[in-house]
Amino acid sequence: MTQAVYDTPQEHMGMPLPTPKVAMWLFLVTEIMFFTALIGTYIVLRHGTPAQSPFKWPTPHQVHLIEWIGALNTFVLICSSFTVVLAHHAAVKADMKKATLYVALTLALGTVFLVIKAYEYNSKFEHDILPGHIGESRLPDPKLGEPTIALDTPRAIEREKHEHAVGMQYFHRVQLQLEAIKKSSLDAEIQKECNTLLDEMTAPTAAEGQAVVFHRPPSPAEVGTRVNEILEKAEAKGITLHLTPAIPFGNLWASCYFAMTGFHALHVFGGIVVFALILLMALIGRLGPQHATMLELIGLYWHFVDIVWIFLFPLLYLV
Amino acid sequence: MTETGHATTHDAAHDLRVKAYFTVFIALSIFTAVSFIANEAVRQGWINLYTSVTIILAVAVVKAVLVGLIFMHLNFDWGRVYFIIVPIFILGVMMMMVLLPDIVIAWQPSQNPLEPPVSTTGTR
Amino acid sequence: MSVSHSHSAETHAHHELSFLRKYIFSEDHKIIGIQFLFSGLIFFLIGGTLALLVRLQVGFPKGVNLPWFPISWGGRMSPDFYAMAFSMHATIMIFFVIIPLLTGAFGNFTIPLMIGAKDMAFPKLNMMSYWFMWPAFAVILSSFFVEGGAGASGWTSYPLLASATMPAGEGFHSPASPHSGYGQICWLVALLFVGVSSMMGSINYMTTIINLRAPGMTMFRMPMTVWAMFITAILQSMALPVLTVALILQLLDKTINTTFFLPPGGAAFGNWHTGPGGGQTLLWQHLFWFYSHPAVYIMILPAMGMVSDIISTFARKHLFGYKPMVLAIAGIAGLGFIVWGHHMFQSGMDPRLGTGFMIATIMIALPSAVKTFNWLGTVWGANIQYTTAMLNALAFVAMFVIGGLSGIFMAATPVDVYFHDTYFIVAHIHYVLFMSSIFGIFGGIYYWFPKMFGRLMNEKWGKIHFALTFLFSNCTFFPMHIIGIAGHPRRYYDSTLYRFLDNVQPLNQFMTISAFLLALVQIIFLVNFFWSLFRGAKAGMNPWRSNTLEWTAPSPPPHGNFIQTPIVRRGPYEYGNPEAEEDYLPQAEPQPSGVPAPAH
Repeated sequence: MTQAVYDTPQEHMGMPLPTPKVAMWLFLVTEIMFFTALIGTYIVLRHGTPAQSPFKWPTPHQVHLIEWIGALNTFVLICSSFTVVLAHHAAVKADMKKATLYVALTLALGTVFLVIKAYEYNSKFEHDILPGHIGESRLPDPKLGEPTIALDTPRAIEREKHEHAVGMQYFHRVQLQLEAIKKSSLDAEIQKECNTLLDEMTAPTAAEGQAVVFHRPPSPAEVGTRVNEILEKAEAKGITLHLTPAIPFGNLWASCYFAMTGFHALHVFGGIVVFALILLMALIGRLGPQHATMLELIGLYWHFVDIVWIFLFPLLYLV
Repeated sequence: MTETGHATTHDAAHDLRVKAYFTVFIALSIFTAVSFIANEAVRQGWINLYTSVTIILAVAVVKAVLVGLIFMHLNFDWGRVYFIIVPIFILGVMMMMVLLPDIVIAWQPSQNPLEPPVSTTGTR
Repeated sequence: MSVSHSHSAETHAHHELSFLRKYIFSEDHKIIGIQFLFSGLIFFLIGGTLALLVRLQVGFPKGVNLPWFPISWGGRMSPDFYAMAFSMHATIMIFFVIIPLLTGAFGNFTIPLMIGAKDMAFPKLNMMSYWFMWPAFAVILSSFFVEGGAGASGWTSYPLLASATMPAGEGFHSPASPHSGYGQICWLVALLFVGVSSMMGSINYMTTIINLRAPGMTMFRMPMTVWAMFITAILQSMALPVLTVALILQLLDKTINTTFFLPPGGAAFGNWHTGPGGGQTLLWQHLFWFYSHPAVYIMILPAMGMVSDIISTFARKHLFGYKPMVLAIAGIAGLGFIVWGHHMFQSGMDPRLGTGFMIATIMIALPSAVKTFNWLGTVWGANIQYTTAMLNALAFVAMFVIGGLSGIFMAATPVDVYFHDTYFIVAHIHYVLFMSSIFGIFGGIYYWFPKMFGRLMNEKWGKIHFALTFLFSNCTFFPMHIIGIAGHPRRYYDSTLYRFLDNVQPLNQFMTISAFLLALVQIIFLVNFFWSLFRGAKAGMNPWRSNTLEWTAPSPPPHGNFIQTPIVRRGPYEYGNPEAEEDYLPQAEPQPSGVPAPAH
């Protein structure tokens, strides 16, 4: 830990607070600004999206976000905040055995948080809900009461061309995924649907001497719609397909989700490293009542991390 | 004051603190459940969206305040550190408010969502 | 491990440190300050060279062929190289020269000495804050040599130019602009390191100033230098995290295909997904300028503080209006947080926001004017000693007035609509940064050199350097106002392509020649600096007969700074008291008999 040059006791100039505590609060203030910028970015980006369905911010269901897991994580962090403040309390009372125990508990709870987060991230990887992967080509859908775009204006044609061009990245990704699904053995109905889609997407080839009847391959937007239907059916049967869905604003959602939870997780990890070091100190007998302030300070940091999650959880999972 | 006398009052004060921590812990857990239930309630259609958003965000603020006040010892230290904490909140809120016109309002399409967003602040 | 060694080294004052621990991995704030000084000066040379390249292109886009000049150069640098030159010139000057010199070098050196502390609150953190600059140095310099070259999207690095990469699968090998591949990534990473270093430093400074002042050193007895460093540290700590977020988001946009700044619909760039989802380019501008506007105050406030101290010392007069000076610095800093939009008047942001920013920006003139009048009030009727440090400080005041006045013009949105991205802006930038901050830095170096190294710099060559720098910098930067008003855009590769600029091209050539002469003149400074390090006249404890605490420590001060902790009895500006024997009364000196004690 950084060695502090202490002033002599408090009758001298300065705050009636230990110097390291002043420093820790100043550091927390910079962290507040950091997360304000990050969360503020998310809030403004999200509220810049339209509120009408279907082209609105994804619901947790669409992006496989399970609220109760988030709530569980919240509870885990709350418990760890409680244990860390008890650790400091024990150190003040010079009960180092208890302090060590509570530090170990905090460490364990922090690790549980990260494990649950890893599980959540894994589900995102499985469903390929990653930034830059999700299909987002727009498709006019008369069923939803929205007018179709008249394709006879030059501007509309240009725009369709552009969208198609970019959508091809999604198209190729889905193509590869469907080929992988073809090789695996799944539920017969799902397999059939996937293979049909794949066939339509792949360019037709002809046997020697035969004429080729050219079918227009589905546009990326249509692929997206078909993929979503397949995924719904699979989910109804409880099968997880490694197939990238098409979700409006899905890429922006994934960008915000991974940036915010990723940085929060990094901060949790940093705290865990410090707790591990403190535990090590305790295990070799070097943790004493003189470290009560240090425990308070790492506690302050940990509570801050908890507060960030207290805001992240509703903003991401609930509202 | 005798040694033991001092120790007892000290212990009593400490026990009160532990009680406070425990109470806050229970309160936080209950509030988390409340916000989760509010979310479910919207799903089930018992309350409307705006009510639930208000409840959930209010709960978040209350939880944060509790953690700050009791766990972070601000109930003791507030007079000594408020001048560090208050400006940053003013700054943070101000920043988000300034971003609203450009990032939020300008892009909220009241038009067809299939069209690229057009700024609603008029022609410039 | 070195950690445990230093622990024992600190507790035993007599334990002799190895060369490595004493001069390289030092935890002594004075050594760290000097380390920042040397790396800052080295990068000053690098940034200056890039500036000369920029001027060469702007002044002589088709090559140099002057009848009276022996060397002619027919070559043309490529437009990309030119873009890289001006982008890296600005980046290096801002993040690797001015901020490290002002906050890193002078902040580190002066703060503990001026408040009577043994060292900073967290010496190890201080050492880390310096060594975190080295990865930044390495990355920013290697960015010149990576595939595609260094970043060339301006120091402002706006998306889409800076963020997008080309067709899928090509990644950084065919970025949106030739330099927005690996070079841009290096730029982002280097600035992240600089940001972390600055934040560590600012927390250290704030804690030290709050808690480690010597007995009797109340907040309102601190010298202006310390006040300026304190408020600058507050600015840094509150604004930098937002830049950090912006840099990280752009880094994510370039590496893992996020879309924070890449808007929906549009061209087929590889990491950019269209459809309704997408970010916004304006968001980068808001986040970037939220930091970068306070950054410009970070680059001027420490110089203002140092200049206040230098001026009062050499005018042998108390600083006029000490408390208003402090409040003015606080006012500039506070207002500085709500004016960032004035860099974005032309960005397409909501004009109503623009009005708010305009009003706040115009208001910043008020505390700045207060400070200027107070400096003038300090020298009014004074018996001025025209040492080199004083000359630089006075030049700061004069040049800051010019730079500040051009700022008022730009603050008004309708006027800025015309001036934005012309050379008028460049003139303003260089008047406040080169001719104010850098004069402030030179003044500080001449002033504190004796304390840092125990020797005096040569006054004669110092004055020659000052006079020539003053002359050539005005010749280089003043005409920029003129060509800016004529409509000469900034960052243009070849202004001779435009007929309407034909009349001002001679001025461009004049400025380029002045710039080269200006660069040559700095050699005088460098020679003076390095020669004086080894052969300068030995300086006593207080060669300038100044009041502040650092002059009561030996030159250079030992580890621990003061033989015994000073006890402060008065403010730092007790000069010219008619009842005292000397014309100065140091802060820690016991009250002489016959002289009334100070009121506060």
